[in-house]
Amino acid sequence: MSALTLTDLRVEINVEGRCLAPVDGVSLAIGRDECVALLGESGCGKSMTALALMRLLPEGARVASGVLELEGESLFTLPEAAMRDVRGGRLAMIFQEPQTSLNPVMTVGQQIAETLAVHRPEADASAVGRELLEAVGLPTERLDAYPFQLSGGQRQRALIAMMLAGEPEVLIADEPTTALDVTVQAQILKLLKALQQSRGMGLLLITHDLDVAGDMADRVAVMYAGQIVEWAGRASLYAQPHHPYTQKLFAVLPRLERRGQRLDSLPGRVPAPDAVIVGCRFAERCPRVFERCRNEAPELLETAPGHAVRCHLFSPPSPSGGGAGGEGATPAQAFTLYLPSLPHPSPPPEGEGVVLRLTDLAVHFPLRQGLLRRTVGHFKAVDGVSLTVNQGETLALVGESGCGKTTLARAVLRLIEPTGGSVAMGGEALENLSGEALRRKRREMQIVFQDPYSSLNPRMKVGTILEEGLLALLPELDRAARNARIAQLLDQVGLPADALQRYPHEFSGGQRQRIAIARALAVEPKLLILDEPTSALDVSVQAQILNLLADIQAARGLSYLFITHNLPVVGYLAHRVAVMRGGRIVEEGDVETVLTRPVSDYTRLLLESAPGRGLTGVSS
Amino acid sequence: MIPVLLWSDALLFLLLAGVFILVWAMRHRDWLRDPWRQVMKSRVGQGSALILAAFFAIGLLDSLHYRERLPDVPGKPAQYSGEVLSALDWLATPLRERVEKTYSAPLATHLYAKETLKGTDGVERRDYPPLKYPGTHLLGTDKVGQDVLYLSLKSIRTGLLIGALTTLVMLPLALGLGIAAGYFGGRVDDVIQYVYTTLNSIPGVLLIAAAVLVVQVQVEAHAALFDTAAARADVRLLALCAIMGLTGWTGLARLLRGEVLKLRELEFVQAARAFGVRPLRILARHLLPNVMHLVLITVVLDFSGLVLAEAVLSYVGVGVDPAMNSFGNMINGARLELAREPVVWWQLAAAFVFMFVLVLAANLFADKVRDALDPRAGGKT
Repeated sequence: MSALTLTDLRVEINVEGRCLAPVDGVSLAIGRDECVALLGESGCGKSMTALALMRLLPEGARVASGVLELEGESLFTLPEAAMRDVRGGRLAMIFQEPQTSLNPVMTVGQQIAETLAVHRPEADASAVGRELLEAVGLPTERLDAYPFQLSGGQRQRALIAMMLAGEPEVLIADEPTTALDVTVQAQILKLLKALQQSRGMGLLLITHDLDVAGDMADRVAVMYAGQIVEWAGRASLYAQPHHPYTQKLFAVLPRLERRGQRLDSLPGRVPAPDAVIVGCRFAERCPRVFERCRNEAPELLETAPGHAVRCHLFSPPSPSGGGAGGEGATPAQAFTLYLPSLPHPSPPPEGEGVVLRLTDLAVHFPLRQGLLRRTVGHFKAVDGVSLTVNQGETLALVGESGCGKTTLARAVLRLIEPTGGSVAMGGEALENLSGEALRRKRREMQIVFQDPYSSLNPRMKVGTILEEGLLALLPELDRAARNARIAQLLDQVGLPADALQRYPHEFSGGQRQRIAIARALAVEPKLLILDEPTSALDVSVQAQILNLLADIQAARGLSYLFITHNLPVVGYLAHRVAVMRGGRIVEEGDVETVLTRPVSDYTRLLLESAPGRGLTGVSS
Repeated sequence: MIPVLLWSDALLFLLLAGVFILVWAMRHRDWLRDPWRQVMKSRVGQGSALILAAFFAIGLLDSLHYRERLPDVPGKPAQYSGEVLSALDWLATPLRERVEKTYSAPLATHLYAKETLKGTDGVERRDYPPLKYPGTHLLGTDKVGQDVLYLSLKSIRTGLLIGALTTLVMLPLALGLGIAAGYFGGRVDDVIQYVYTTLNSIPGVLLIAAAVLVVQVQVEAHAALFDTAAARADVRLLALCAIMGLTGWTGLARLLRGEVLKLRELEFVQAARAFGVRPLRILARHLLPNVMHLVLITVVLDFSGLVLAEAVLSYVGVGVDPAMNSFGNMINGARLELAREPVVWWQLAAAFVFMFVLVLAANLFADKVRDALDPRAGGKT
């Protein structure tokens, strides 16, 4: 018996007279003691589904059809007043951002009491509050703390405590750990899993991370373009993904074992919500598309007990006999995981030619207090870091947020003035340079940022953006030479030539990141600092960008300082890795050694916390 | 007649020439011309542009000044009247010359107050005297019988001048100092913040009053330079604009500083710095375009504020010259009219309607311009 069943949900949005359906025919069931993961890339409609379950859809969107039953009670037909009792009580939801989900001017205790007052008025607020904080692993005195006094992980715990206050039968968690560090993520996931099991709750976990879903879920629903394309038990799905899209999702993941292989890529984009699609929604991007896919939409059909898939490869031949192509592809073919093993273009690191050498680099921010802003101490963001990056090599700098890795990157570029130590680029120390000499040196190192949305000026055309560095650093080039170089760059990063006359907002996240890479490459640097260049992107786009970076390195012999928190990416791409914590390097070495036989406890903790390992080594 | 060029006329025509040169330069540059085309495609854009154009046309006509030649007296050189008239005055001669005795309601046939009249039979009685020009005053007449429509039309030039010139003085200060404070931070920020905090802590009216009085003393000391009453009033208006601009930049500057504090940490600015792009270029290419929407909205909203500020200043006695037609003076005059019984409402109503239409049109137009200049909103409007 399921705690929550959703049948044929369709959500519609009216935009300027047109009717879009971001969720179209989604059916789900969550058992009483079960964790279901709703997995999908951005824009597939998974958050919209969650909001529809809570009946909290944004203005303009509405549930057009579908039935939602919680323990046999139909929720979509309830009047709003009755729904308020369900919401936060029997059905609760945790949001992604712990920063904004808590009211900053109320203590944790007050916010828990607020939920209690609505759903369990008879309960003693402070006693229950303490009990709940213990359950989520927070010290009970935190009841009087304000959200700003808590760390991100503690806030998420407090939020979970709030949601548990109504004793929900089903808890919906919408990307509950995306904003958190990997070690904290592991703790929160473990906590959610433990609470779900001990309380006998249903848990709907919405995530984009295959590994997180694999660690947590009993059953997984894979969503694509507003529909569930595959719905199966965890073991069955991870052993044999059926749908070509799910297979692709697995194939694009970077891993240590995939070093030297080109990552598989998923060309194209998710169809726009207003696109008119006759056949399968994945047909345009599917490697195994055949004629029937374009003419007839597939149904979600059970292929094995408990394993359903929406794909013509598994459909019975169409009754009309029109889908002749279906006979060519037997289901047996689909069971092999498609994994290409193209030679990785990247050369092995040759110890010669140090491009960047950091010696005891330090960045201390003064802490000031009082009316006269006296310096009372220093925050040591970067505290004596020594590193070298060789030519043609990728050095990964790994660490959690606040460890100083971004500050380090900016200090290397002299965007922040270092307070001590030395940065040497190609053997020449940077700290003594100023004015024109520094500007010339900037040609040799460039940076690509994390967020492709804020790294491009929204009011400049792509052509102007790419030209800017050339104008500033290579003024000797004339217009024709500049245009030739820009055209070549666009070609290299795989953008169409007409991109020059368009504005950044017309491009997708992955394309913007390509523009940002092209911009950095324009001045032909020797070192590229990549500050989390793929963490804002979907996994399929991430694979494209990682392939592109590998190609560029092979073609130009470029060195990368790759800053990230994502260990699988490090394992896939980097030659050497340095682990950073609290402004210092705690471990450094070649990738295979560090990732398989770590010396420092912190590296081991990071590795164990990484999703995909079953959360076994994590203490909650 | 002899043409008269007041200082404010010169500035206004210079401004107009600047706009013409800009338009000329933009004529063949698609990327500059397209946003304006887009504005002109929308009905709201067309309508508001038309209204604004009408207001500006009236303002410009009112800036073509001249002095009439008095009837020749034989044996003497030609004499010119001391009264400075404008092209608008000439066009609106009927309005200007149809003067009643005192208040009359819009389109009335009789005066607004009863007077003792002697009838044809010689009997004295209290009644509303008939107007000299019954039914011709669309918006009624004021205390001395002047047509309110004429006063309103004459006030447009003052309003536009105050709005435009003050903004011209204020804008470079606000843009330059606000963006510089936000971007450079540190000492630069400290100094600029100190300046605008100091300016803000002095009551604005006091500062303006002091400045206007100083100018007035100077004008009287150099009476030879300003031969007509119009010239004196004009200098006072310019001084008022200048001082309002010098004190009025702080609000926008603070807004821009805050926005730039946010923008300068954005990665596209960091990327530009990594290219070694010079600071002034970063200010102009990366920061200024990204705060333009704030500037546009603030300036247009401030425009109505400035015209109203002029009314307050007139009340204190340091506004434009009392003899000069302005919305401020009209509103100021309405203060006493509203205290009468029955209430004389049309002068206030006329000032209100004219200002409302002007500010509304400017607001709608600015909205459209902002949308058109924002690449993200492209094609939506």
